[in-house]
Amino acid sequence: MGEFGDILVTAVLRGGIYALMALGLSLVFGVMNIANFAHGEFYMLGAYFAYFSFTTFKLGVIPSVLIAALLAFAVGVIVERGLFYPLRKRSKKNWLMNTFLLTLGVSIILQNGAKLMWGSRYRGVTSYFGGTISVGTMQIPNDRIFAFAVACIAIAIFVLFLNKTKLGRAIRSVSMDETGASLVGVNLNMIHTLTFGLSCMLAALAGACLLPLTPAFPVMGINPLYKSWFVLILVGMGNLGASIVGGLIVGLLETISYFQFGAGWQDVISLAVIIVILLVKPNGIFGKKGVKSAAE
Amino acid sequence: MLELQNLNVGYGYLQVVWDVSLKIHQGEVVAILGLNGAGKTTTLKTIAGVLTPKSGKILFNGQDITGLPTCQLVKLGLSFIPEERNLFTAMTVRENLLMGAYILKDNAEVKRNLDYVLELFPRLAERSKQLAGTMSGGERQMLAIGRGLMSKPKMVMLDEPSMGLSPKNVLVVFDAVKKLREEKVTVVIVEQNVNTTLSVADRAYVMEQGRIAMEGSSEELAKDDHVRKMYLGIA
Ligand SMILES: Nc1ncnc2c1ncn2[C@@H]1O[C@H](COP(=O)(O)OP(=O)(O)OP(=O)(O)O)[C@@H](O)[C@H]1O
Ligand SMILES: [Mg+2]
Repeated sequence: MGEFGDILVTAVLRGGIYALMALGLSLVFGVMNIANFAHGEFYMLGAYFAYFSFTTFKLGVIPSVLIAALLAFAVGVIVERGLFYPLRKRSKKNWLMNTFLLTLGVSIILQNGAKLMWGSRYRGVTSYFGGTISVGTMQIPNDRIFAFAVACIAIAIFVLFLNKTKLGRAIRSVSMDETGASLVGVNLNMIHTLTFGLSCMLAALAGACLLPLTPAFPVMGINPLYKSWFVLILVGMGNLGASIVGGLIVGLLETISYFQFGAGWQDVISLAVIIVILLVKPNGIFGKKGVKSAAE
Repeated sequence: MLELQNLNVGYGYLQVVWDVSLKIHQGEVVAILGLNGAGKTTTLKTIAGVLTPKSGKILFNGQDITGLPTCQLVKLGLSFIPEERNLFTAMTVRENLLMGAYILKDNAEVKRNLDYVLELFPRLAERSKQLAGTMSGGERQMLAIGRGLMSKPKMVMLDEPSMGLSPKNVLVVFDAVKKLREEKVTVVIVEQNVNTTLSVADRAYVMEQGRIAMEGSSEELAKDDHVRKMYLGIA
């Protein structure tokens, strides 16, 4: 396959996880109109939850990852009910800005909460499965394949859920027209809470299945947060299908710059490319109209 | 079936609906007429729970529904079809209709209602896979009405259903209203198309500057000098 093949494989493995992160971020933006800067902290929680399930409670890999996802869902639900729901009841004025600040606060609290409870040392596992498989000229750790497989399965299930089930359709309807959705009987509060929980769950899944590659520590969420924002800015906000493609594009950009210019350059190059794209297409590659809130 | 008691509604400090009381009985078709800005839409939105009144009471089938969230009213059998339509633009026509039946649990019933709506508006059947956002204005209006009927409501409130429709489709919409009347569904209709509306409505209220100025049977109002001059354009 040669170098090109290697780049492609690495890019896809990386991009799959970005897509998973970006999907949740995009969902919350599209449905709730919240620019969530605490998304990375749910990735962090996912890693910790998986760590404790796997090492302390000696559960298997799959149960650990699933438990991490469920716990993060629960934390997401609590955060939504405790913070965004009361804010939404009180005022919708300056919603985008207020919730943005609120998510920054949530991020700081979760980071420091993690530090307080679990200290700032790294908590990692050496591997979930061990071993490698060879793809072309490369040896790829099984754990990377596992993470990618989880990302693909989660994205596939999630997309099916959104498109084929009644509840999924209700979530989409709220993102398109809140009044219309409530007129047909959709309970907006329930959908908002569910959406936020699901978004947290997707982030936690990513953190949990990457645990052998990046150990858990309190501020580990920052990097994946930025990566998922790259993706959203690149493809346009609140567009779910595009954020999946966008994840792969960012993965590819990073991998190419990594191979061509060496480690450390990948963020510079991919950001530069994103800036250039935005200069040409300010709404992102797939952005048609401005996001519904951009004008507010 | 529906009763408003001394309803006052406004936007911020600006009050636009003043002391409105009215009564609508089971199976009636009642029109609300009025010039632009009279407060008709505001009244309907308040009944549907989209707006909260400053004071006053709304009773539906004897139950106080003032301040109840919109999503619960559908379950009581009250469907509001707004003039803004509020369609789900990135969904297909079929998905929009299915969303209209969101509160129904029984799939067979959903299917029955879908067939019913598609028969009422055959145009929607031809376009079932098209995205709602790409439909023409008139088609979207029919879709909005169709979606509002998917839950088989006991009472339907239509805000300017014939707006933007070609004459032929205005007939389609009014035929739908007649059909609802035959099925003993209560209908409240706001229209600028006063002539046609009075021909299908049993009774009408006339709103002027946020108040109920007149009420009466359609025949009475159609003969009234004031109504003829202001709303029918006949001197
Ligand atoms: N969101 C709003 N904020 C402030 N004022 C509003 C708002 N919506 C409506 N109004 C005002 O309330 C008054 C009544 O409006 P409403 O939409 O109820 O009238 P209408 O009878 O439905 O008129 P039309 O026939 O044009 O649809 C108008 O003067 C309008 O300018
Ligand atoms: Mg109006």
